[in-house]
Amino acid sequence: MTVLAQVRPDSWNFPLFLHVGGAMILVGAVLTSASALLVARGDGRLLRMGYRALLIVGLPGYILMRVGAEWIADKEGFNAKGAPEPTWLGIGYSVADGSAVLLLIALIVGGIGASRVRKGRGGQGLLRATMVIAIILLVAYTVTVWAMAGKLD
Amino acid sequence: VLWLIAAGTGGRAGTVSRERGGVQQALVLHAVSSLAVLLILIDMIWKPGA
Repeated sequence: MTVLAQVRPDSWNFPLFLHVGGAMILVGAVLTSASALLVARGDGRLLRMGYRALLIVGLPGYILMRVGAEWIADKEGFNAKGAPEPTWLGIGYSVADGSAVLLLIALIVGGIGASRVRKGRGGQGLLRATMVIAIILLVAYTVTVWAMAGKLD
Repeated sequence: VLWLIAAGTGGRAGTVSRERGGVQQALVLHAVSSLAVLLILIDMIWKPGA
């Protein structure tokens, strides 16, 4: 009989749900942030919204995605000593860890920028830098989602 | 069906939010849209019936 679809063990479902759900939240937040900062053109409300999307939605999404990733990798045996590391998994780890640094820089720079905007002392340049980082993150995440969903060898 | 609900309510939320006093209705539509997306994810991972 032909196997049409391989169903994973039930115990993998929840960690995978956390990982994919977190990734969806993260990508949505980064897209929202980049878009709001791109179209703001000096509008303080949109500039702050762009930053808050990254802080209030993006950061928890990242944590959820990364915790879920470690959990599901452990369940699938990829964390065992001597276990093979497929290309798609390597891309996932590299982008997740590299993007954490970029995300933190974007949050710190954006936080200072948003504070200056609120006090009416400029800060738009800093939020523009946050927007550029958000666009870089978006490109990296898009490539990663493609590589991981397609199980690139 | 879930895709249709998510897309329909999401699009409508955007339109309604731009109308005067439509924020409350837009929030409800947005919540329905988000719930539909969540159900799509649950459906894809747990594959009920597979």
